[in-house]
Amino acid sequence: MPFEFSFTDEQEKFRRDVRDFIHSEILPTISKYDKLEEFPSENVSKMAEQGYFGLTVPEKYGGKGLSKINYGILLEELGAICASHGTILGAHLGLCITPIILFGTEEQKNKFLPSLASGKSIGAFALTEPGAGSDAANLQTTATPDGDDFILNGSKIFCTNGDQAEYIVVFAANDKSLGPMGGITAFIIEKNMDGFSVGKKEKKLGLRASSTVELIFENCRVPKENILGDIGAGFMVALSTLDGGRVTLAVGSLGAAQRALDLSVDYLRQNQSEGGNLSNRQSIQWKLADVAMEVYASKFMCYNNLTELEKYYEVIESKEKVPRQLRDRVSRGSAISKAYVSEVASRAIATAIEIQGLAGITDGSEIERGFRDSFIAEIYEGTNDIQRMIIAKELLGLGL
Amino acid sequence: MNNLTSSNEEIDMIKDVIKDFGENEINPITSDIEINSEIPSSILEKVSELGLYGMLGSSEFDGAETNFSTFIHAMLELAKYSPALSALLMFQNVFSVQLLTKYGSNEQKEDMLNNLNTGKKIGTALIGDDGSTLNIRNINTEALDEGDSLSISGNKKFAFNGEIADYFIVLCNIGKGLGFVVIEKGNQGVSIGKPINTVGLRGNKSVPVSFYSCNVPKTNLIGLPENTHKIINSIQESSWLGIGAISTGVMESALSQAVKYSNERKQFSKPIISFEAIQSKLANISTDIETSLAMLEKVSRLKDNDEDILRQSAMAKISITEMAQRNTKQALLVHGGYGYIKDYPIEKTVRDAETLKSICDSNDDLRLIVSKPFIN
Repeated sequence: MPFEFSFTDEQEKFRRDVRDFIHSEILPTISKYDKLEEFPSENVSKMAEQGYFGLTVPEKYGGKGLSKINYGILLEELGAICASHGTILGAHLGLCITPIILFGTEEQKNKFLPSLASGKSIGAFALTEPGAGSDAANLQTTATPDGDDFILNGSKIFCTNGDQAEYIVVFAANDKSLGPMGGITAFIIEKNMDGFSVGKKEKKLGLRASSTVELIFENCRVPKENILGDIGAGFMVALSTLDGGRVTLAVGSLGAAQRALDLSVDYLRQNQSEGGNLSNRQSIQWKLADVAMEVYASKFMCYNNLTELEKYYEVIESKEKVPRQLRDRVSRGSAISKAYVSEVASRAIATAIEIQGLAGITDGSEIERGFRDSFIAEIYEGTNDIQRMIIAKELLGLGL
Repeated sequence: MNNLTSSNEEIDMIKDVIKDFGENEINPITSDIEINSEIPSSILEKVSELGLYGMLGSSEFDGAETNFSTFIHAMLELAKYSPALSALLMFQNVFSVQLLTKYGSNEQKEDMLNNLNTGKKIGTALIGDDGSTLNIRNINTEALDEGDSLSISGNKKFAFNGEIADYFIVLCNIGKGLGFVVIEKGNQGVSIGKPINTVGLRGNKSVPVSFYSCNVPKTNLIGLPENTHKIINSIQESSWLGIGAISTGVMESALSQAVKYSNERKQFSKPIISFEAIQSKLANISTDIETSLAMLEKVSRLKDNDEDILRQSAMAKISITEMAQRNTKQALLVHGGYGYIKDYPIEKTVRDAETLKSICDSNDDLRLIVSKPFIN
């Protein structure tokens, strides 16, 4: 099979449509939401009308039924203009809807997917706890069987969309003695369940239009119909979901990096038209070239990963056994692109600030917001140190 | 008293005083400075009592008359607690106190220095129209000769301390060349723009300032026109080294935050400091702090010996601000998700480092100063 690194005509058109829409409808509103630290409900409704919130959901459940490549294009374009909007969509579609598609029963799909796909309901995902960050398996939230139901107790932190969500995929320890493989179960929590509440909302350096909250479970009764996947198989649900999540974070960073490059070029052209000399400086030209090289490499990396992810998720969805090699390749690939491209984006933004000087660090400039947003991509869904650990251990054949 | 050599006791003494001030009085209100973008007057009064406004001013006019090495150490120490306050004082000392002490006439000194040394008045220098100190070939701020007086017109995009400044010391075209002219805030024709909020150094507000036919007496010219470039160089070398000192304080703060967090935070059943990847990051930050200190000490000693330090201070600004940018970021990443939320101060430390790197001339421009003598 030949290497075909190119988008189809439909995908190119999809990108143009997405770009036109978000540049005219979303971009002008962003600095307001960033400043107010407010969830962009109006923008979410508009994006939902475009079908973005159910982009990869099969049509029979009310989605658009588009591919992972389209999803990548959407997140790349959103990441270019605002990390918050990309994160809101990623947590909803990549982290809440995806595990329901991969591991949900037909009843669960019929119950949850249509309202999620239409964007009427927002989805979220909650794994991280105060004591379980990088050590994600160390969950203290418990799920105690009570008849056919489970009773959840504990708390989650840093949950994106947590205060906006109707449905949240939550992980809890059903039996700590069994460890992560066998002792963790995934649940679909509904907002109105008794014993569930939203706690503290974080104030953050960036990503300020996306809400990040604490979730509290106090004797929260969850019926067996809301168990996602098999009892005790929750950690695999989490890992498989995050394998995809990381690739899509990478593609968001790709958008941010490309945008920083574009803004640098715009700034230099403007400077030239005003009689400035920056464009002719080799110190500036070399920086720009370095960013262009890294963006070019990142693009191939991200879309190659998305192609593999598509195959990987097809196997999981078919309930066939996932070949170990495929899982390892996707897992390593997503770790590589998440860590690499997030750092590419940070460098591209740092370069844009060097080029713009004082203008680049002044409140209200797009690159100033990009700078504050950029750090999170190196942290969430596994810090880049954790990604490096995954990559190296996998290469060396050491168990995680 | 005229201290030409720095004694370690003097430096240690002032560092102790600042440490005490920082821990007891600045630390409790750090978040207020951030939220209000303002340094409270109680802090500024204390700064005056400590003599920090006029460290580089002569004792004849109520200055503390320390040498440059002591000044650099003081700015570094203060920056561990508040880089914004440290920057405010660095600019006051370099952009007004030192400038007038070295180049002002007796009348100018008597008129302004007591108040500048004690912080009753704030002074700031406006050099390049764009906020740089290097871009002085195309100064469009003009001082027209009108007999006994000068009429100043022009725009300066970025005045450090501009929002609180009483005296603007403005680089103008004065016919045959460039000259500095003192313009008071209340002078007719001075228009101070809205504060420019930068991503870091919150509390240290810069403003754009415009002058429309401002009339000032010719006696407001500072120094002879042939000395103007010397004055500019003196400001450049002092402020670049000053930014280096503040950035070193910022790195020290980042290191102590990362050390504290990585000893407290447990993952995989042990403190994360026990992981080699974390230890390496902390070792890198610590190594860069030592490099910075060595540079600052060497270059400020040269300045105390009246040597030309323009290139060395440019090197210090380049390397230290770039180290600070890298290391504050690593310190934030050590904190994981907690590094991104406002409950921990490390996100502020990162913003301060980025701002320090971006002000007082771009590092690319400074590299041209460093490489100049290599060109035959």
